[in-house]
Amino acid sequence: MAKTILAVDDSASIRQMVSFTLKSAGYQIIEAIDGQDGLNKAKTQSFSLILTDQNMPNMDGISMIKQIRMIPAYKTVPILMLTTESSDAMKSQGKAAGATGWLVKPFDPQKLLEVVKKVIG
Amino acid sequence: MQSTRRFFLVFGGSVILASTLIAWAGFELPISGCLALLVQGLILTSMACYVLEGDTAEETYTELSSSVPSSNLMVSSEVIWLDSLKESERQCVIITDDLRRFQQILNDAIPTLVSSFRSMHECASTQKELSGRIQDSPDGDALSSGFMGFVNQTQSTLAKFVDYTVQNSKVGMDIVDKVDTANTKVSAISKVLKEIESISKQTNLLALNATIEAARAGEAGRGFAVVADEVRSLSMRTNEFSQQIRNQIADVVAAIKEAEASVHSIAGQDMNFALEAKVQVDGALLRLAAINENIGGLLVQQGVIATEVSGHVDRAVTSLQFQDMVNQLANNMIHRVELVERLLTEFSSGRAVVSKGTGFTSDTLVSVQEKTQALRELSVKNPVSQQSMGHGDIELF
Repeated sequence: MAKTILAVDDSASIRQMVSFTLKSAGYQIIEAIDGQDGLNKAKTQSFSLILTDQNMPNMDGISMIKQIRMIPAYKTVPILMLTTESSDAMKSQGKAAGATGWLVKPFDPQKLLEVVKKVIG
Repeated sequence: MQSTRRFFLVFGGSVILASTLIAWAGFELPISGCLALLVQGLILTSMACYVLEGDTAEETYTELSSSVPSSNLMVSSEVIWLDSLKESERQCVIITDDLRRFQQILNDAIPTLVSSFRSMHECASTQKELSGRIQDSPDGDALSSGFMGFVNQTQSTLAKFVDYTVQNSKVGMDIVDKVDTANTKVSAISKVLKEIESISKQTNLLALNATIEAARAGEAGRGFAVVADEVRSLSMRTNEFSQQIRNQIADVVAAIKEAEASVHSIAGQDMNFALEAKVQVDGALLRLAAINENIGGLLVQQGVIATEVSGHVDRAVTSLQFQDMVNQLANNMIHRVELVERLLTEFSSGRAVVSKGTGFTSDTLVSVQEKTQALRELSVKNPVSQQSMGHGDIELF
């Protein structure tokens, strides 16, 4: 059975590109348009991996990670940040919130696949 | 001194704006750098306008002061000041709207482009899969080697067929020889039958003479006459058997002659046609093998091209993410331009207060300070730090 990944980004084109890249490798993708939408979807469905942007309306990525890590089922689920933010300070905040890794945009589809395979197989 | 500062402000703002346009049009500078330059140019120009308009108004005031009453000049200067500030505010609103339209256009165009590239990627993947399916047989052997196996098998079968044909021709020749031998033997049997018939006739004649002699002997020869009749009867039966054998042998001779004709027909055929056919089929099979090898090469090339297309699509996907980066930069610019607009509003209302000689209120000063600080922070907290479209760093914690 295909592993399901939650892709959270307020940019429709980024969601589109992430979905098409990961679907081509056989993963199933559910999209969320911001942190709040991502949190709601994480509560109603289980995912093998969450891939999230940082700067989004309603709820940013790091706030969403903090909320999701409070859910027992998501204690060990990998969560990767995919964002234009690249400062060390922001990365430290992400790590402290429970992020598994940090990918700076723009992403190379093959590199993204390599990381996802490394994290969830 | 003041005019020199004004000159640098105006000149600097204009140069920055022009540089931004050149950099943007030529794509020689990173997008983030261009947009940052544009905002800086905008702010500097606005500030310069503010100073320049004020100064222009003062100069106008100086020029006019020599010819018109001072109270009228004060009113005129204030009108020019306020008009300039209002126009600057209006320009900020227009720039904000234009930036939003810029975002909207990109938001409309990029998903279509991404969708097109996704379709190209899917087509390339399908093409690659089809090429692979043609090249590989179900059991995993390459089609080309399977086809070469077919060619080799056909050549081997054809060679056996030709060998058997030549062999059959040789056997036919042997059969012709054997039929000739059989004919000779049958002729020999016919001669023997003639001897038997001759003996039978002589026996019959002897029996007839014996019968005559027995009749002449009278009663004493009666017994002998019975024996002579039996001998004659045996002679006639021998003759009948001889005739029957002759008839059978005649049938055998006729059958042998028919077989001889058939065998002659087979043995007499030219076997070169089989050898020529083999050469022709061998040539055709070799050409098929060459065509097959060529097709195999083309399929490999097609697979390589499909892989290259996928690589190009990947690079396009990386580059198309500029929309997300530019969108965030534009948002940051919109926030900064909105703050500049609000600052200009504070200036215009403050100018009116100053002109009345009452001075800025502490609330106005605090508000201006806050907005100025917010502008500085927005410049520092730019969400996009990338300077190019090369893929970003990856770090696993």
